[in-house]
Amino acid sequence: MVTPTGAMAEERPQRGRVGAIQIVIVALSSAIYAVLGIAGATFTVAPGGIVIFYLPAIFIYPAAIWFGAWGVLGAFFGTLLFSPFFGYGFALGVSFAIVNMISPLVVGLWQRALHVNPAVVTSRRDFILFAVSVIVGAAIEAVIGNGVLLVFGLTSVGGLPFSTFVWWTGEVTAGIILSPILLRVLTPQFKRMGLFHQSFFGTQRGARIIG
Amino acid sequence: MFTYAIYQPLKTPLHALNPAAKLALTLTVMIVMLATSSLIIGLGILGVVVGLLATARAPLGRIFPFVRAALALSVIFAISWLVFTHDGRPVFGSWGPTDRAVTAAAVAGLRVLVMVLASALLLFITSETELLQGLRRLRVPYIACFTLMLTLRLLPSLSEDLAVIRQAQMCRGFELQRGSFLERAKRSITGVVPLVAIAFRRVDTLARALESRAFNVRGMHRTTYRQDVLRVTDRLILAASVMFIVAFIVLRP
Repeated sequence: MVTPTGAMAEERPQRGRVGAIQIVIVALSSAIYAVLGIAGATFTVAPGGIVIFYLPAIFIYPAAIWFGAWGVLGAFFGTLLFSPFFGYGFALGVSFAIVNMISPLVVGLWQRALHVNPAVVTSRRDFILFAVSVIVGAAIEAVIGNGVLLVFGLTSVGGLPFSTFVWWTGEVTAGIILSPILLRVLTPQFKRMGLFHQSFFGTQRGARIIG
Repeated sequence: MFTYAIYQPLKTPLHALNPAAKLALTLTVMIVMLATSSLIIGLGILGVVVGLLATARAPLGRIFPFVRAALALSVIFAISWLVFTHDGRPVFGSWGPTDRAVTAAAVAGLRVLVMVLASALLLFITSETELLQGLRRLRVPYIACFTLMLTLRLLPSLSEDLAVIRQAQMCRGFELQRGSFLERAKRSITGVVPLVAIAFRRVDTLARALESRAFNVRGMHRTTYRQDVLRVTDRLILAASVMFIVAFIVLRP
């Protein structure tokens, strides 16, 4: 049977089955991530495409909160596509595509585990929890990402602290300052469109998690 | 504006290869470049890539955005090595970068150049459909290949949307490129919000289009219009690629 979308899907959701809507969400998230990545390449200050202000981070944290794992996958395909523009080509792009999924994964899982309201600016508690998740996620990602750069000989041991710090700062600046704006403005719209995914790895949609 | 679709359907030996062979060829070049730390081998690989681009009759104008990005990034990579590597003897007597730093900087710069040019070569000789076929041949799951292809199709329209949004904002007197770093960073959100909103308006239309074509229906075997045939040349390239990669990783010249 063909899975219906829109209103009908809300009435008769199919458990555990990846539908066309999930594929489209991944593709759109990936395309937005790639476009923002290429547009933000002007902020590059360190090797490996490490930018002082990581533009795709503005979008990918909210995407992980709205769409769960489907949003996080956007970081994978998006990184793969903009990898030639950050100097590591498609071969290394796969490694960085996996690395770039770490921080949205941490943020998305954290939000679900602590039942944080997706529109994080509605209360101080929600915003602080969101900010902490971004700080922790970005730190893990920066350390692993720079480890990969070192293994492939794209950065030197001496340059590691600098590039790790810039990577972390680039993600945190974009994530903490600008992602909440996106969440506040677009959360109600996606709520109306029924694009929220009820569980992080699930395919069920609806606004149950908003509370 | 940035464009990813640089493919041109020409009649060259490289265009005639099976997509899997094209993928194997370009990936081998990239992996070999990553595995080596020798400047001479690096220059040799760069020569091979330039030769392949010439064989594919790739015009410079078509691959210029990639070349420009590669050159800019090569400089950043090279500077990083020059600044942070202190092993070896200083080049100018008692001061300046060391000889090892200079070699490492040159290799790192070459690496970036080769990676980017090889990616451009792959995109120039392989159409989106062929890329999908090649990935399928290399046993990548269909759903992953399809998502990648859908993303590739969406990229130009979203880039165009972002350009239109920025132009509309500039028409209203909004200055995106001026001001300090923080000011520019803050202003970037004004482009991201409408871009995301516009993009996700397409969700339902796209999903319906996929479902009407019976996408991902259980128990259905997908067939393709074009049959994917591996010829002797393709098989040779695939075998040589595997051997080359193994040899380079083991020997690490």
